[in-house]
Amino acid sequence: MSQDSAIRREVTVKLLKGLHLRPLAMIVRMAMQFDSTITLTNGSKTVNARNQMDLMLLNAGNGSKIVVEAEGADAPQAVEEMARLFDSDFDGDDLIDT
Amino acid sequence: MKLSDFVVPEAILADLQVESKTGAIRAMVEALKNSGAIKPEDESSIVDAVLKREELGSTGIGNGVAVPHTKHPSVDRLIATVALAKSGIDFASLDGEDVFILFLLVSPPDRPGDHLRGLENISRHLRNQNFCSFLRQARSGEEVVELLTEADGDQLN
Repeated sequence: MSQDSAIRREVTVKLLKGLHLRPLAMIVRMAMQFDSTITLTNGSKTVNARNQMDLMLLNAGNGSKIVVEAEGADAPQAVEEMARLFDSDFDGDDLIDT
Repeated sequence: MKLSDFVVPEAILADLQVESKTGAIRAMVEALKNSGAIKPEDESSIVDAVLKREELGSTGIGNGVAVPHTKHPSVDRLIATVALAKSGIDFASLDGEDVFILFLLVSPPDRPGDHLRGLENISRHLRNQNFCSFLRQARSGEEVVELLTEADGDQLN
């Protein structure tokens, strides 16, 4: 994505189990609501936020710093909503035993 | 962690023919029981646990793959099996597509990292187009085992 038009925000994983399947599915469902291209980056690994299998490769444990990047007409909302999701408890994920 | 460390070769179903997600899960757990990897008395509670996990959100992760899983006290290490469904099964995947490759994992409750590492391992290999397409073409458990070994040795790149 070009540097100029992409919107970027750093978020932190605040889940005891890290970004496992369940929160990843929530990320995919969130990403699907927007037209923008959305990626997540952990270290040097960047993946498409709409692809759950790719998201699993992020290997993002508790405390990981993730960069959310979106490009497109609704990029600001996409980044905002994604950041809000990371700030939330992913619907009580820590309390659920999967 | 290698695929061949935790996939139970005798429980592999190279030609799964079921109509439903539930049918697929039952068949895979039954295969684990038939192989001796799980005890007969634990079979139904493992099926229940896997189905309960599905209620939290489908493990159909897209690209024709599903990874149903559960923790269960009856196992002391991560075990898994593979099933290939040539006609596809509706797994309520997020991408809306049927699944053709299923990995079912059962892990011990006191080692939460195990099944996550198992899933990451499986995902990493499934991103390899060769692995996916050879897997879908495999006609026997032996062929699947060979493929897993080759994937472990990074021989499919």
